[in-house]
Amino acid sequence: MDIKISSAQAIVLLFVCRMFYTVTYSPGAEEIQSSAIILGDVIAVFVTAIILIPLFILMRKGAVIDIIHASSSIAPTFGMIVSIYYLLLLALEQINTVTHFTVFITNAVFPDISAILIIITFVLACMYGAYQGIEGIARAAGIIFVIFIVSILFIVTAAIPNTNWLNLRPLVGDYQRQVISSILDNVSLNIEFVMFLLLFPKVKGSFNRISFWYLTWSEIALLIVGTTTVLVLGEYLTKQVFPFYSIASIIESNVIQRLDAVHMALWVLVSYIKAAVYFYLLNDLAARLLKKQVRKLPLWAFAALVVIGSYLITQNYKSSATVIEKVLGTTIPMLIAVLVIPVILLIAGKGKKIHHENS
Amino acid sequence: MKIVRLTCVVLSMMCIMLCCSSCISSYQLNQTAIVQAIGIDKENELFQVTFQIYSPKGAGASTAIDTSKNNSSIVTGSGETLAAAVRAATQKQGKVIFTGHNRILVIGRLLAQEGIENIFSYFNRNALTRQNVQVLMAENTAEEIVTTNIEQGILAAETIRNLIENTQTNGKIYECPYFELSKNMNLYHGASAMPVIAKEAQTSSDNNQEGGQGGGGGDIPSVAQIKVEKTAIFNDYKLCAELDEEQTRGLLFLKDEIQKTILVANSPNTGKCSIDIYSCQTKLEPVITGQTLSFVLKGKIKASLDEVIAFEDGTMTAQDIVTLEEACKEIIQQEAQRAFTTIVNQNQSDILYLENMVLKKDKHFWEKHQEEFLQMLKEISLQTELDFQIDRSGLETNEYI
Repeated sequence: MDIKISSAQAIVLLFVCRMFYTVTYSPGAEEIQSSAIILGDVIAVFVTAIILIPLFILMRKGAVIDIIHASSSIAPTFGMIVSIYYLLLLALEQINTVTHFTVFITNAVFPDISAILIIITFVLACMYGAYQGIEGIARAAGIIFVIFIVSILFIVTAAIPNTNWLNLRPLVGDYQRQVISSILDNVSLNIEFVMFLLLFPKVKGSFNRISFWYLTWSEIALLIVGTTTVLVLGEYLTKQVFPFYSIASIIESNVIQRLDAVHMALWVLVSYIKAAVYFYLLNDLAARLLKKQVRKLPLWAFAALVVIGSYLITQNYKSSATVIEKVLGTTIPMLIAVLVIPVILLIAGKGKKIHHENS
Repeated sequence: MKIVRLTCVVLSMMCIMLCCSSCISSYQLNQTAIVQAIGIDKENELFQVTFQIYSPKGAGASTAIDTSKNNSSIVTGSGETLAAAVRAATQKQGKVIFTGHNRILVIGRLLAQEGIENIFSYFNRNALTRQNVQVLMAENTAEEIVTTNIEQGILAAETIRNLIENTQTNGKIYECPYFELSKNMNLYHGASAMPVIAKEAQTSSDNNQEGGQGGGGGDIPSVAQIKVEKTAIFNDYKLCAELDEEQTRGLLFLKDEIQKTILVANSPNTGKCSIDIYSCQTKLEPVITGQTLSFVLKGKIKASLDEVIAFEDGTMTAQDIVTLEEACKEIIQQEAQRAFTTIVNQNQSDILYLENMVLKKDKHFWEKHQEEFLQMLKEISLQTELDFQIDRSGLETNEYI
């Protein structure tokens, strides 16, 4: 019997994975006004919802549960292409995740440590999480979710004395371009919808309802974190590699003086969940593509791929990271995954009956 | 198969324990120099860094921590860059410099006059930098301050930090954490403010303190070996002015950072009175009239009457309270005006975030005058609209009231 996770577990899992980028948002080298970032974040949730309308229609009322199966029912070749596409996208995102984690750890925590040590250890731990299955990961995410909420609220509350409303400046100059850039950035970081699409066969509940609550809670968290960052740092946040981490290192309470330690621990936990889920999905998807005899190989193969890819990128971070950001950050890969493919399925579904996946 | 799996799990656990618990490239505590204070000077184009490091036995104590001694020792290093100077300090004493517990950062006067833009890169990039370390400017050299033996507490740096934090609650000194300094300098054309710390001149009681040991007589050693009385103002990363105590308090009123302070005001009938401000909310607002820009300081202040030094035949009436309130408003207005004149009019230093205020108030005015805004600061005036109330008078029954 296939193990399924509940709607609440799915929402929590998606939320925790989304927080990976939220608490380590980095404006990069781009000159962008802090108010443009916040405005972009607010608009992005509506833009995301609009982009996902075909997907919501496709997945409504259980019309489609497994998008891979639905694609294969149109044409086996099309199903193969879709599967490989999702596989590549997940693999790229996984490499990005592990690289992002390694860059943070080697810049903020252990500046002298070898990157390959961090990568291998992290990947091994995440593989074990993937091996335990989705239910184990979802339960761990539930615990981490509670810790995350408490910690974020603690950090935000402790940051209140350092806030200054003067730091929230009106938009000036060429802000339209900056707002659009912020929207695209935010939309592209919502790769969790791709993850959810592939995970949905193992989830009990309505796709649309889960998506609604996930979007709502993740955007609330993003606005709280983003607004706090802007109110404390103002335009200075554009000079910080990890602005929210900088805030955590600024504030102190009577109980803890270095809240950046809390932030670090939190982010490691969040990173673990995200990477474990991605390994699980990569393994699951690859196993469906491969012959029965070699189905045990994918997890190790993907782990090796991620280790090699992440290591090569961290050794040459400036040029390599730009390539990945240009690929993933343009939102095109995500749009293909959550908009183009569902639209094709919807169009094809007019003439063809889409079969339900057996539960 | 189970044995293989178990072996893998155990090996993974060992690997994680070794790799993720700082066992690799770790330093034992006795190999680490825990820095409490950092002083930076510049001499002959070289940075000179002075570290006050925690050293429980360094001051000749027989116990782990001798509270009668200053439990620290001094290490210096110099180099073309700050990082090189830090490495040189490590070379001299062999321990790894750990700045994660640093309490104060002192900048020498010469370096402040020359410009401090070059110090931020090292501290901003260093993962160990404490963002809320207190930054001060030395009256002379930073080395002089960091090497001062303060006869209070177990660590001189801790004493200085407590002094800074306490003086702000008395409305005397502007507090400057490192992240504020870095942020303000980056965003406001190199403008910031920091307290000036000076070494007190030696008195006869200090000279006699050695003879006074063992209870045989002599004076009690003075704890006031350092003093913080002025505030340094920076513009374009360079020291441009210094505020005295009154101007410093004016600055704190302008920035709404007064928590508690005492004003000494005169009433014709009662003489001098101490007015203790216990609640202070002030706000600086821009006033734009056509093309003219000015600022108004609005405030709601509540105070208690702490002390009345009455003339022999003096009486205190309700009118005297009103007079005292007016006198206090006058004091605040004068101090704020003096600070504003020095900081804004004479030195065009935007530590009051005036540009942000104008931008929020009238975006079009700011866009029109954006390029010449700093030059406009020379002519800007300040008005005050203060609501000052003395509504408490302490526990003493005063027959004159």
